[in-house]
Amino acid sequence: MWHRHLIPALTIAALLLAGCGGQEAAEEGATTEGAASEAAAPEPSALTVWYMTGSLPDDVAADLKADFEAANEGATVDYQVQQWDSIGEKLTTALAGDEPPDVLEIGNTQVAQYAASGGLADLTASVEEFDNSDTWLPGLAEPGIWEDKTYGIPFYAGDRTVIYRTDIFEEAGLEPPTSFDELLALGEPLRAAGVMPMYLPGQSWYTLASLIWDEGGELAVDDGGAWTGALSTPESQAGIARYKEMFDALSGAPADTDEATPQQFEVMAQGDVAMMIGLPWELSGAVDANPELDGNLGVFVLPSRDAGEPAPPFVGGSNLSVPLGSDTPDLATEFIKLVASTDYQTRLAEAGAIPNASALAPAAEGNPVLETAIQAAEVGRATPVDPAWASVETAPNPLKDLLTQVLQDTPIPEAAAAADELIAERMGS
Amino acid sequence: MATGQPVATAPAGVPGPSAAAAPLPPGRRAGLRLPRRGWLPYLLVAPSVLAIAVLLGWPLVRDVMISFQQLGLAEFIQRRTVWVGFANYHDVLTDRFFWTVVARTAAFTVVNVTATLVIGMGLALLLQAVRRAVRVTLSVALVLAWAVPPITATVVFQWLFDTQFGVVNWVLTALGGDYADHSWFASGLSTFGVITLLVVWQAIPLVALTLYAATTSVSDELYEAAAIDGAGGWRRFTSVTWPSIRPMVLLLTFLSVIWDAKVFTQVYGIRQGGPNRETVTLSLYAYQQGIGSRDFGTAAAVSVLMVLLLVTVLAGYLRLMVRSVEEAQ
Repeated sequence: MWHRHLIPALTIAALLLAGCGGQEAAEEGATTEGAASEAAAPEPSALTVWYMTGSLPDDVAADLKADFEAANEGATVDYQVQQWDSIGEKLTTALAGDEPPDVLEIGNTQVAQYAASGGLADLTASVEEFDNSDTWLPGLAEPGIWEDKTYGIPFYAGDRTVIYRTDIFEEAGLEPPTSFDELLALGEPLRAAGVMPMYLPGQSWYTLASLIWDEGGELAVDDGGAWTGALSTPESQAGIARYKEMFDALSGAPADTDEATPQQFEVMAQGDVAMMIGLPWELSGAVDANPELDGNLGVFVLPSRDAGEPAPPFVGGSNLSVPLGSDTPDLATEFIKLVASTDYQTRLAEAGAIPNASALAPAAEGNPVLETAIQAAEVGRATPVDPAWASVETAPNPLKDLLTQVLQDTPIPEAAAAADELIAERMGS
Repeated sequence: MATGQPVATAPAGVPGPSAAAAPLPPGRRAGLRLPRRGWLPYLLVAPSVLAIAVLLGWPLVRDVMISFQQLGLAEFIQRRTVWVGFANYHDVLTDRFFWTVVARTAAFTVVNVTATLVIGMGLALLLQAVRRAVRVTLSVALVLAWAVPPITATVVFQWLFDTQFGVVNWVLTALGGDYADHSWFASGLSTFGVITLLVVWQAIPLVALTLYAATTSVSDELYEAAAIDGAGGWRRFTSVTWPSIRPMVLLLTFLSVIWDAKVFTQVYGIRQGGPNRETVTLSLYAYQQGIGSRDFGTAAAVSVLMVLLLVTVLAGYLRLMVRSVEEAQ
């Protein structure tokens, strides 16, 4: 009979499970004993650090670990490198779990929702102990604050600049523009030179944000606790109109795609495009896809309406946070202090990242791409700091739809009103 | 959606294990000895019942429970259980957009099911009529279309209909149309057109091959008799073919309604519900509430409502189908 076998099987399974539990308990006991025998050592602690792939170069990560373990006797650092793909779900699950990591890298615009959900530790008390905290980039520092408390410490930033073909510009006798009007004026001579002046896809909403901010507009405003879309204000409408102007004057890209479908750097790598608005990795991506571009790509800031100034870029990047469930929050904070220190931020800058504070700008000397990116980052902005903002970016993103509609000749006030309504609805729920 | 799985409907078309337990007329099948009653039939269905209970039943129970809770990121991370009664249902049912989505999903389902069955039936009759070599070629083509994974098919269709690089615009322009840089995804209707093409294309093979199989069971003598009586092609179809394939058509309609009402992959893959939320169907709406807005309670309520809607629509139909299968037997 089957149950004659089942009962022994269940018994064995139960014994095995019990055995595992027992062993675990024994190991824990052993560690405690080991700690007790190292009389002078402070409480030993294993620090689990999550960082995103590519955020720390391998040698910097290794030195950080060595320095930290040397400075904190008994402490060990265990890195777990994460992929960006569905990181939101992974972070949520980790924060809800029994043993969350001790240090987390979180995208700057994502900090607010985890802070508001009660998943992160309040680091306000130690803010002044971090190097350069008085000159932290606003695009990183502001999204790290929720209801006047600091939950995210600026790690590093990234922003978009105009990536252009120096060889094409030289041949056509053109200079990088210093104002928005000069940028538009490049369209005619570049077309005459037989290239697409700029591959600007219709749904590059980060660029739209830049132009709206440059006009003094906002994407959404906090109207006494309730967020509403702010695209219908005259300033924002002027920003939207400028996107259309720019698209008409420079771009030959489709009105209904974003910068990732197809990847714009791959389009640029094909050789007939003079400019694109992109991140540093997209510049290297274009060179990887077409080695002939090596040495022929330069960058300049997206110029403001006001000559000589950059239009405020959207600042992406990461903050470092301590989960509320960490069993060693003090040690975790110490680790973040080391990552945010002038020494290590300088090393990150040498590796090509924008360091977390404007005081560190000199670290980029000799790297024109980084210098340009830092120049823009100092006036850069982040998306509205609110847990509900994430749902606005959820597909279908109303800002992308707004752009496609406007580029296909829907009147701006009509499209802006529709987008505002959708933003209010999504941020209100 | 949990109850949308075809597995739940399988007993309707296939004689279930209960047939084995039914009393057999004495004398018939004398050589075969089956226990009339006892534990064996139950033991045999136990694995499937267990699998359904674990994989379908439990998630469904959880789904219903969550639909009565406020479950956002905060509750999830702090592991709080906040019961809110019917608040989620109230929110959903008073949301005008929800009803737009319901109507849209219903229209989408009707169009897709009709197109699938009409074209599938046409192909089944064609398979019956053509020579063997053609039939084999056609069947292979059908099976290949069916074998393409939906994600792959979606990506292929995105490129086919791409504004700048798409082969569809290129062909239409070459044929004399003005389709250079035509955007197929500019309006909801046009986007639905592409989605319908994709969904129907992949749904036809099952219908066509199943109906073809059903037609082969019709004995040739019936057609001969009909021909002698002077019946034309249409009359032969309505009087001979249709009565014998009718139960199968009903079954396929039933399955197609379930599949098309809850289709997610292709709709989400093509434009994520865009442009301007004009291709958001019920399953996308639930997804966006849950994963997008991290409002799992509302999302659960939407999916429970979706199940109830489908059950309501299909209940009468199920009765009709079961009766029709019984008549055929």
